Parts: sequence; structure tokens; C-alpha cells
Amino acid sequence: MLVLENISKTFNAGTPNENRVFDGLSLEVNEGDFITVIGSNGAGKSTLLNIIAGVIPVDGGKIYLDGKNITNLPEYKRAAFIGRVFQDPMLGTSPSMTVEENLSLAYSRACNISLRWGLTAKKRQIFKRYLSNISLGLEERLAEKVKSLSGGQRQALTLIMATMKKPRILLLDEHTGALDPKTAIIVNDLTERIVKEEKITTIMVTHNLEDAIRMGNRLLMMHHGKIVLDIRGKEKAAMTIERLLKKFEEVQGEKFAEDRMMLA
Amino acid sequence: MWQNMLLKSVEQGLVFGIMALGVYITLKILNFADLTVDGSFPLGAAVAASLIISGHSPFTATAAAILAGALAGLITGILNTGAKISELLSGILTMTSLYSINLRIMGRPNIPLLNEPTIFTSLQEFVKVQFPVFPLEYIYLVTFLLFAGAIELMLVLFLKTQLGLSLRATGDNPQMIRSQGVNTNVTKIIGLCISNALIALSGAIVAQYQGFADVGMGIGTIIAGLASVIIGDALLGERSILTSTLGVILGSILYRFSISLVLSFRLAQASDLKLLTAVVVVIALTIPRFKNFMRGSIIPSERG
Ligand SMILES: Nc1ncnc2c1ncn2[C@@H]1O[C@H](COP(=O)(O)OP(=O)(O)O)[C@@H](O)[C@H]1O
Ligand SMILES: [Mg+2]
Repeated sequence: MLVLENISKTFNAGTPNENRVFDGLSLEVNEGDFITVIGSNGAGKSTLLNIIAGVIPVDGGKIYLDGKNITNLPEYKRAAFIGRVFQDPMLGTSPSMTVEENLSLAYSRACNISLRWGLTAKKRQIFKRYLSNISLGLEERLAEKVKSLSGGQRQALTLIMATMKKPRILLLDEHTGALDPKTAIIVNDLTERIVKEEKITTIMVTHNLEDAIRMGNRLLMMHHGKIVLDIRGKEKAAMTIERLLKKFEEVQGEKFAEDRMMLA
Repeated sequence: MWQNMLLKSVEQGLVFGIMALGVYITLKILNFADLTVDGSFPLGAAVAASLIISGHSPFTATAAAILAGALAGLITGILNTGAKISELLSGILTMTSLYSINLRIMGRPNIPLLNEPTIFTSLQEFVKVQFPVFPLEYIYLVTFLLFAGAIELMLVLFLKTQLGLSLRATGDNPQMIRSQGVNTNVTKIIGLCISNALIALSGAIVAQYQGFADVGMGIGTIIAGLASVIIGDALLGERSILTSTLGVILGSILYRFSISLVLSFRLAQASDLKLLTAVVVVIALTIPRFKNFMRGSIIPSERG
């Protein structure tokens, strides 16, 4: 359903800082895929998601969604069918607006330029239901400003905002990376539940190898702007950390060295 | 004399409060430092005064001033979002061009309105006929109170609509609101239009209230608006849109009052006003920081 064809991207082209991140990257995402993405720092994982979301324009190549060429569609238009959660809990919500106001923006995603009331009794009811589902007590705090929430609560809220209006594709960029381990588990469980229940096609970048192996149906490993491993189905189900690292060495002829990567 | 001074300050505070609400929209809601203000305020006065002396109804003239202000905001918005010129420079460019444009509109640097029909002469006649007992010396106060109140209410309601929420999110977290499908260039331009429309409206009313439009009357408007917003912030804080917009109008009244106080004690002369205002703004800007600093050194900060 999502196809990236021969994508190339160079940052700061023509300057001493020239940085060729992608040179002919291709990827096909199938309907219902839950893809986890791992890879060394600077491999281009975030850039990949930013290119899909339209935050960063490509230099060459094409992007198709459901057969439609979206390569030149601006970010705010792609937002109609793409949901995103970032690593930084600050990025996904509007801090000085209330929980319910934030939810309202997500509820009418892609039709936010209307003069209808942002909040109605009916919407509040719906928001309450969504929030009580995640059992973080947020349903009692609808009228509180988001800046008073913890990082984990904000990420959970962002996740709800990204999926409330079912996106064609959900992009998660290390969205548990800034959370403490306990909260990360809660947000990961919530992610799996929503993705499963709503059957959302998802790409999740993570720095946690175990999560990457345990979650989803397909695993990509990126290295220096290339997809060096693409593991699916039974092979993915039988994967362990040791096998994954070994496989990386086989393909790459070098050891997988990454201090930031969590092995367990 | 005291009573008169108080009355005048409240009147001025209310009518300039409409301008301050415009500044509040860009500064606080959009997080956009818009300097168009010093041009769009006299633009409103120029358009209204020119139309009035050429025989148009003062109400038509005031409505035209609102449109002209919105247009000025649109230009600044296009310069910033379309031509990618910085916020400050976009505002300065529009403001500077407006000086010439205002002179063109007026055809001379000053238009007196003393013997012309204004919205107030119409109102006075209306009140004289309909409510003969009403004390006419309070007609400005009551009109401005209704006016500023109605505009504040409309603004508060607008900021609760879907579009209003998008505007607030544009100032608060543009990345997030774009990922919710909002074109932040559009929301910025809409905010700038509304803001400068209010500022021009304020200019149009001030011209009719003081009895003239002058091409130089815009100098320092932004600072007065800024002072009102900051004083309002210090008074009522940012609990809700309703309280903070109310704070802006109160701030504007307090600002006008302190100025007339200083003048009445002959602590300064009228020509020192701009300097004084700048000093007031500097003080208002540093007091909260000073308070925070004191608090931070006594009670450990929340983050720690
Ligand atoms: N907006 C940008 N401008 C310039 N360089 C960038 C930008 N975004 C990413 N890069 C560079 O692209 C490379 C890939 O970055 P990124 O996609 O963030 O890696 P990852 O998410 O896999 O750690 C890095 O070298 C990074 O410095
Ligand atoms: Mg990254």
C-alpha cells in the first residue's frame, strides 16, 4: 500500500557538510504490516519517517500511497492519512492547551479550519471513553493543560491523537525512547493494542532490540542509509537477539556496534 | 478633576484595549512578533476619517477601516509565509509602506473630524431621542464598554472554535498541528488578519473619539499594546482565554491610568510619553522574571 521507489536524499548538498543519507532506497509496505525498524545512530531511520510524512522533501525517487503518487504532497495534506508519534513527548501535543482541546484537534484531523465548536458534550463523552480505555486516569483530567502531564501520559495521549481518526499508516519514531522502563512498557502495550484492534499499518522505529523482535510482523534493520535486513513471517517469529546480530554480521561483514542499542 | 481623569483613562483604556486584543492575538496566541501594528492603527484612522469627510456614513467608514486592517495583516502574512521573510522584517516592511499609504489615503498629514458626523454623534442623537434621561457625559464610557466587551466575547468564542483551537496550536506547537493536517501558513495569515482588523478598528474609533486622524498617531502603538498585554498577564495570568483577554483590557486601562497619573503630577510632559511607556514595558517584563528568580532561589524549581 505504501511504496518508496529509489529514494535519494542528501542534506546540505554542495557544502562541506554534505551528507548523503539515502541513495536509491526502496521499500514496499503491505496492508496490515506492523514493521519494526532498528539500526545504528544516524542510519536514517528518522529521516525515512520524515520523508514518508512529508516533513523532508526527497531529492529523487517517488512515494506512492494506495497507488497515488504523494511525493510532492505537503506535510499538512499527508496528515489526513498519516498518524505520527515522536520520541520527544513535547513534540506531539500542544502544552498550553488542555487535554480535551488537544484531543479535539485530533478528532477533526484534516478538517480543523471550521467555525464549529471545538468542544461539545458529545465529543467530551467520546474523549472520556478513549481515555478510560488506557487506564492512566486521564479521563479525569480532560480540562487540565497538557504541560501538567508526565512524559508517559503525554506519549499515550499523542498515540491516541495519532490513531483516533484511523490513519492509513502510523509512524512511530522511538516513541518510548524518552520514557522510564515501566512507562515504556505501558505505552508499548497500548501501541500493540491500538494497532491490533484498529488494524493500522504501522512503522515503528525503536532502539530496543527485544521490542523490535517481539512486536510486529516484520523487522527492518537499517545501516548507513540502506535496509540491510528485512525479516518477516516465520523467520521473524523465530528470531532472537543472538540470531539477529549474527545475521547482521553475515550481511554486513562487520560487527553490530551500537552502544545506544539496548540488547535486553 | 480626579473623577474626570479616571473616566478618561477608562475610556481610553477600553478603546485602546481593542488594539491591545489585536496585539494579544499575534503575540500570545500565534507567538508571532508582529510590528504591522504601528501602521495598521493609523491606517484604520486614515480610512475612517477620509471616508467620513468624503460624505460616507461613519459606520461604513469604520467597517472599511476593519477591512483595510485585515488587508494589512494579509500582506504581512504573505511576506512571512509566502516570501519567507522573517516575522519582524515582514511587519516592519508593511508598517513602513503603510506610512506612505496612509498619507496617500488622507491626502494630507492631518484630517480634523470636529464638525463631521461620527459614530458618536449618531449615537448621541439616538440616545437623546430614545433615552432622554441618560447622562450624556457617560456615553463614551458605555459605548466603549459595550464595544470592547462584545469584541472580547467574540474573540473568546472564536478561540473555542475548531479554527480558533488550530490558531492556538499554531502558536504553541506548529509541528504538532501540521501533523494534524493544518496548514500553519493559513492559520498564521488568518490570525494576522484578525489581529490587524481589530487594531485598525481601534484606530478608526480613536480618530472619531479624539476628533482627528493624524499620520503620526501610530508611533509607539505596539509598545502600548505590549504594555497592556504584559500588565494583563501580571494581573490575571494565563488561566483561561477569558481571563487573559479580560486581563489585556484591564491592562490597557491601567496603562492609560498610569500615564495620565504621571502627566497630571507633571512628572513628565506629553512628549516624554513614548520613553515612559518603554520604561513601563521594561519594568513589567523584568518583574515576573525577578519574582521567578526569587522564588527559584527559595523554593527549588518544579523540574529539579
Ligand atoms: N534536518 C536535517 N538536516 C541535516 N541533516 C540531517 C537532518 N535530519 C537528519 N540529518 C542527518 O541525516 C543522518 C540520518 O539521521 P537520522 O535519520 O536522524 O538517523 P537515525 O534516526 O537513524 O538515528 C544523520 O547524519 C543526521 O545528522
Ligand atoms: Mg532518529
